Amino acid sequence: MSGVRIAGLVKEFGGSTAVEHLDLDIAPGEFVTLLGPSGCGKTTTLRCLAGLEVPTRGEISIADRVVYSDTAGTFVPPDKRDIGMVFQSYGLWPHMTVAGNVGYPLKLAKVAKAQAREQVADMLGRVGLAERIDQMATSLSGGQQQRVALARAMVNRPTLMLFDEPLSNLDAKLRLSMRAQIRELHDSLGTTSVYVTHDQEEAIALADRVVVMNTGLIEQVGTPRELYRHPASAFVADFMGFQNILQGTVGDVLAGGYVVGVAGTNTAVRVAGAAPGPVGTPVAVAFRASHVCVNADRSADATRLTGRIQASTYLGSCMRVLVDLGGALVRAQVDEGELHRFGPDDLSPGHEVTLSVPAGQVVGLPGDDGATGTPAPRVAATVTG
Amino acid sequence: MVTVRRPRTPSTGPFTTARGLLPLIVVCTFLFALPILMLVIGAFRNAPPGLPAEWSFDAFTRTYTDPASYETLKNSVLLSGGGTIMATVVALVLAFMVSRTTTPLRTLVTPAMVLVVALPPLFYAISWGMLGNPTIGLLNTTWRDLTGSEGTLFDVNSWAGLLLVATVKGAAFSYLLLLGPFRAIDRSLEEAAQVSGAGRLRTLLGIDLVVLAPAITGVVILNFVIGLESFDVPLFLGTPAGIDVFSTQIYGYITNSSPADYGGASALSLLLVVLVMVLVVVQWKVLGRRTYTTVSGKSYRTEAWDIGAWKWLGTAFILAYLLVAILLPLLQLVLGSLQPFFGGEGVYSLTNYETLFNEPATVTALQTTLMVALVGGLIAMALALLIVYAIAHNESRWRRLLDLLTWLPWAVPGVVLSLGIAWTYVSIPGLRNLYGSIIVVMTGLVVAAIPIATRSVQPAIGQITRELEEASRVSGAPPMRMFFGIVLPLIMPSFLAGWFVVAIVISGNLAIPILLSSAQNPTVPLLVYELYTQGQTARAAALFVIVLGALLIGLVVMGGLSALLRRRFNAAPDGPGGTLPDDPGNAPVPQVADQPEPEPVGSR
Repeated sequence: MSGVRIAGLVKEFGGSTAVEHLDLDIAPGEFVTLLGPSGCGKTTTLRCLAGLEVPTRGEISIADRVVYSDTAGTFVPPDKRDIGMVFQSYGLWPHMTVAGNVGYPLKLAKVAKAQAREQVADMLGRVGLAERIDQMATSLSGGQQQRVALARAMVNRPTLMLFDEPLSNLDAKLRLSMRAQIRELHDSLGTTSVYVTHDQEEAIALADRVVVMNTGLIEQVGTPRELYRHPASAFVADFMGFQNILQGTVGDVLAGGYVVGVAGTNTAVRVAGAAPGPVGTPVAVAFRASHVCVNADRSADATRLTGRIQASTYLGSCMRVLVDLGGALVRAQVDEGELHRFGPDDLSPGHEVTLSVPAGQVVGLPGDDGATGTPAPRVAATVTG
Repeated sequence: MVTVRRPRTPSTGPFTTARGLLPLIVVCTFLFALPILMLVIGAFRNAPPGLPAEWSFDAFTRTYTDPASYETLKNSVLLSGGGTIMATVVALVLAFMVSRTTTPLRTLVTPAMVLVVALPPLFYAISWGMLGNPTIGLLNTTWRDLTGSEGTLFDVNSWAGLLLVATVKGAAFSYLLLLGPFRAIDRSLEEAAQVSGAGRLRTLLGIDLVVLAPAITGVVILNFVIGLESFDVPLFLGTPAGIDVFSTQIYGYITNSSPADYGGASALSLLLVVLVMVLVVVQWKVLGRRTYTTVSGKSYRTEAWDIGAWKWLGTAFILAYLLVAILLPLLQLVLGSLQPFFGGEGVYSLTNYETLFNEPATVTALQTTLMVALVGGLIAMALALLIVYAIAHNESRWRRLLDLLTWLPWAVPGVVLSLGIAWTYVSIPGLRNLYGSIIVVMTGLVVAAIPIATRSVQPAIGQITRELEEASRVSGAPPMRMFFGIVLPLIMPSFLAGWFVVAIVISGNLAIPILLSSAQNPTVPLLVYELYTQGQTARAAALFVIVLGALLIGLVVMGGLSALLRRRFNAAPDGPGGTLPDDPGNAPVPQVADQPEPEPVGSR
């Protein structure tokens, strides 16, 4: 039994390729987010799942039923796929009431009127719009409209729920509560969900598993924690909010870790874990600004990086410091509570500081071999859930 | 190497694939392209339609060596050129006064212009034909009563008359197209000029007119094309004075020579078609394939310019235009219809109306016209809807072909179209039985109305976001169910408004029935023309007043219906996009168009 199986999916538009090659298995009841920048192919993948686009090649099955296969010539149209979909701009029909919108899938499925009414009322109750049932759909506010759209997509208990950046038109506060509501409905109704977003926080908060996509290919698949702690490439690290990604080479291999010489500087960073190769192997290191410890004293130490402050910005909760290591820039962060450790001018531009990063917080990534400036080679991952 | 069998592309919705487009392309080719093709073939045949013939250049040599043809060409260019220049000047003056000055009465102009555009050309042909009649027209009799002289103030059957009426009609059309660009001029451009030391007049001429140049050029070409295609006004006012233009000459070849010279008419038609197509292509280059410029959503601070004493001159100008374009023609038409004999002495009475309603032929013509307008209008709107929808949704390159096909009827004048349709129905064996029937007339009227119908559904279809359709498909609606359950209800207000407009255009069309109607099934415009040329002017006027009355009733019904629909659609007090507490304020709600922009109606 599988929720969704995508094998060898390719989608080309005219001359350009939106999805280059995609394999993905999703377990029944699983919540998967497709995360990536615009143009990475995530929305195209979703639309292929919905049947709103015809793939160029590959095979897609939903709940063990093949809905698209280029070799068998199968294409199940969207109305026969038993899916629900929530759109970015809600897609509510302005000539219908809230009840009319939510009840539409039931009407098409020829559900008996009395039962349909009951289901509509139940669904609207779940999204907290029971009292709006007879209003015109588009007279509601944005957040309410999106909840109506959610109710409409789920009312007929589809086997697969698709979300196309449903929260991007809402304001930040509303986004949080809608997010919780979406996950809650997913859990209580037990559907399989695929959710497209470009917001890593949203992807992490919602998903059982996150699929990071880039230029039509999968970069990495994993649980939110895996991705957050152990990005597999510079692209994913950047997307997961690692402010510092430094290129270099393996300088020394130690017990339980290795040292990376940062390119263009004479400083080195310690990384925990097995080295990717012998001394000289190109490698990149990534770490978060919040994990960098800034010290005003200049006690030289092998584990410390020395540099000069180039800029500092007070953000209220913390001070952001940009440090020049002499060839590479490192972003560091000093919490407000820690600022008392420094003198009045210690963190102003021009001053020298030392930085230290715990080896356990540094992630080693496949290095740039120097030929290109683009992130590390991608992994066309085949992952089974 | 495994060879993969390429199955045919599945369709994600109606008209998305080339396969889905095929029936529509076939229908459109038959309706729009075949008549022109038959016309071309006909021009190279040496016998009238339906008779055995041989290929020949006879018609071409005859027509293109005849000096009269070049006289016609000269007349056409003079009339539409002169009319266009004057109409554009009038339109620019009025648009400037309305959008930028405090001229009193300026608020009357836009509604009046919509009315002038909506009134069929036939209305102007007959009413001005009566008004400027040298002996008994209201204009000249009043002049004589006032001055006691015996002379004639104005003879409408002349170049002056033709140009006057062309200017009046063209000005309204140009005005509606220019008002948008005029309003959309960025005021900062003017302020920058003034700060740099340019006076107001200098700013107007040096900045505004230059900024508007592309829009003005587009409108000028459009007006010129419409002038070349005009038929009713030259037929009523030019023919008596011996001034022939293309369309009346083509008509003359068929009615005035015995046997009818179909070859000559076709050869001359082709010259006109080529001329118009060249202009249409030029206009595409200028306006980017839009026939009208819409008002942009961005609004600038409007600070009306007080032009001092000049504004009273402006008011006088507005009044003069209203008088010439609406008040006098209407007055003359109604007064004339109440006279037993036009211009004759005697009490005003309803005799003409009684006679008309007692005549079965007239009643039949009224019924026929109503039927043709409603049914033909509906067919035109349905076809236009399918075409617009298909072009918007198709992903194959065939949609370009469809797009091109729909522009054909626009570039073909009514007389030429009906000539082509005549060729089609007479020459093709299976269709011959239909010739002279109302079906053929209706086909012609539908094709002639397609450009307007297309333009009235285009904005409505454009406003339906794809998500609304996709949401319906995903909810389980098959393509047809989605079209009828979601798309059609959403565009219904625009569709009904468009239907009404198209019905008006069809019911006022003379060029199509004049060649295609048989004596058994004339439409009202044809009857009006016959009565008028037979000298029964008063009765013709009465018949036209009845048509106007029907239009008025239609307008009231339409107004009530759209008010009803609007209430149903926007039941919420806030309406779509209303700002509620947790609304980020940028909800992209599809707006159901209440009413399309004033359409260039009845432009021929």
